[in-house]
Amino acid sequence: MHVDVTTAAGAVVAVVVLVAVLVFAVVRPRGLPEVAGALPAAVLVVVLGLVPPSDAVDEARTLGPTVGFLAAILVLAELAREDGVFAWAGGVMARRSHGSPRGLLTAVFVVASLTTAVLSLDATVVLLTPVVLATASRIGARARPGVYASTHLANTASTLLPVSNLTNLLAFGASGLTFAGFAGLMALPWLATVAVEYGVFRWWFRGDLATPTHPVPADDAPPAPRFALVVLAATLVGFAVAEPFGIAPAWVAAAGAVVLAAPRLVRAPRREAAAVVRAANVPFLVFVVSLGVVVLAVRSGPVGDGVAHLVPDRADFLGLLAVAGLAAVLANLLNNLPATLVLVPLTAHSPGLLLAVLLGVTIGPNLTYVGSLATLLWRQVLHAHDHTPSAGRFVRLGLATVPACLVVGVAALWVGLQVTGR
Amino acid sequence: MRVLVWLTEGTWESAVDAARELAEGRDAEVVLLHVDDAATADAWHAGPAGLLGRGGPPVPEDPFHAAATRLLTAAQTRLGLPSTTDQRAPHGHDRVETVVVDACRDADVLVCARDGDRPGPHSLAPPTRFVVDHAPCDVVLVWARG
Repeated sequence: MHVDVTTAAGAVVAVVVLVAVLVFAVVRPRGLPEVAGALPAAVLVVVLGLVPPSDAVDEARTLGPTVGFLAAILVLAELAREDGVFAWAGGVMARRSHGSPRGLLTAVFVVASLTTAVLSLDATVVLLTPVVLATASRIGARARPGVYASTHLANTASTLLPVSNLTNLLAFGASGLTFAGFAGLMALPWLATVAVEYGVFRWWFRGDLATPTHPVPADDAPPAPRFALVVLAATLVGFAVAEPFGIAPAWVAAAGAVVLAAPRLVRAPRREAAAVVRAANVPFLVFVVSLGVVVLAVRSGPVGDGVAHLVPDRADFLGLLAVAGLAAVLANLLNNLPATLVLVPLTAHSPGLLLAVLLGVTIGPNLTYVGSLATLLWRQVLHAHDHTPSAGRFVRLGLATVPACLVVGVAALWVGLQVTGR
Repeated sequence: MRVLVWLTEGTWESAVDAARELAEGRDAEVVLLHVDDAATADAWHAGPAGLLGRGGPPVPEDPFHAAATRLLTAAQTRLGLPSTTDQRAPHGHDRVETVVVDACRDADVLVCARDGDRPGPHSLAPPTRFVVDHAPCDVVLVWARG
């Protein structure tokens, strides 16, 4: 059976397959990994002729370095956790808060923004949020502002570096920017959007933040894990320094992970090697490549053409705002991964438009977290576990932060582009 | 006299101290109430749900209920009087404040603390203001102290 990807029927089949992949990834029937849905779907679009085998191989080859980079960052974050970086960060947040809920929120904003920027949003969501919760409990503050801040900043603060978010990694390869060039253009939007988010949070959670100051217990504050912190700092510097010598950031990340893992690998080679492979999350890496092939089928047909018509030609302020808005809408309709895979090739000719896309796909998800389609399913999944999330609660806070962050972020990007003459 | 003490993170100590003053030496039945904060649980679940494809558990374990149990145990110790605990979680679209008002139905007195420690309308967060406005029993409202 052959389906022509350029026809309406081809577009419908491609979109149905993509939606099926996303539905499977959220529902996870029988607890199967997401890749169990995505990989057969990628094979299906090739078998149906929606994507020629050579194009699928090209797509996998293009995504290969990005996926390798991602694996190194995932390993780096997990090793940092094992070395006690996040437990130490909890101690720092407690001390810096001086027992005040407002002080704790400020500390969470600084730590979560830096964690997201350096170790990616996964680290903030999975590794830092539990520490924020424990820290709030330790100083007798309410957990709500900190937990929401951690969840929001995992998105909003993931714009600074190519390593901060998988979406950035996907765009970075196509952008033609250097690591330092990317960070330089995104520094101002990153600072500006985090500041807007902070202002909204101070007002939104004023009731929870008004509770009295409690003394910070002086017990068991973990010591600074110096080795891990030095390796992380060196890796960060290495990204920018090694690039002019033709060494890709992925290799620097891999070197950082190897140095951090080395003492463990010497102690217990087998067990630690297995732990490193687990942290690299190979099924997720295959999922990303499979999703890329499925999205290629959508992108190659009328849907991709339609989206291409919506992408502005010029990276002036309105053009940047329009493309960031489009990216945010797509990220909320589906999810930010497919939105990025669709929009990156369409904006790769202009670093300004490409970075505006990244602002949209990273900040936008704070409106519905998983994309509206997935949110609907996800609510059902949680409901089955006797917890009904209130969509209204997310959306209200999202409405208070996302549009403001997008406008301010795009304005800051526009200023950066003017100053650098890009 | 049935005294219901509504405990919230950050201010519960003041409510417990006030309940002790009220109940000590009287024929009072003290019930310590905590209602899980569904909004915090929402954010807790939403973060991992946003990480599409990572293979994490579909519904991560919720630490809030266990934390509330620890808070109630600490409150019983601080109270130092015979008491029972009542730990509730909002179901469906219930809100914390409506669950508290519902729990007040069998109580003679509700003891709760303001959220802020500075005078003014902001010392009562919206859920607390709702409870104070709608509780069918007498309300003892105390300042939260650090």
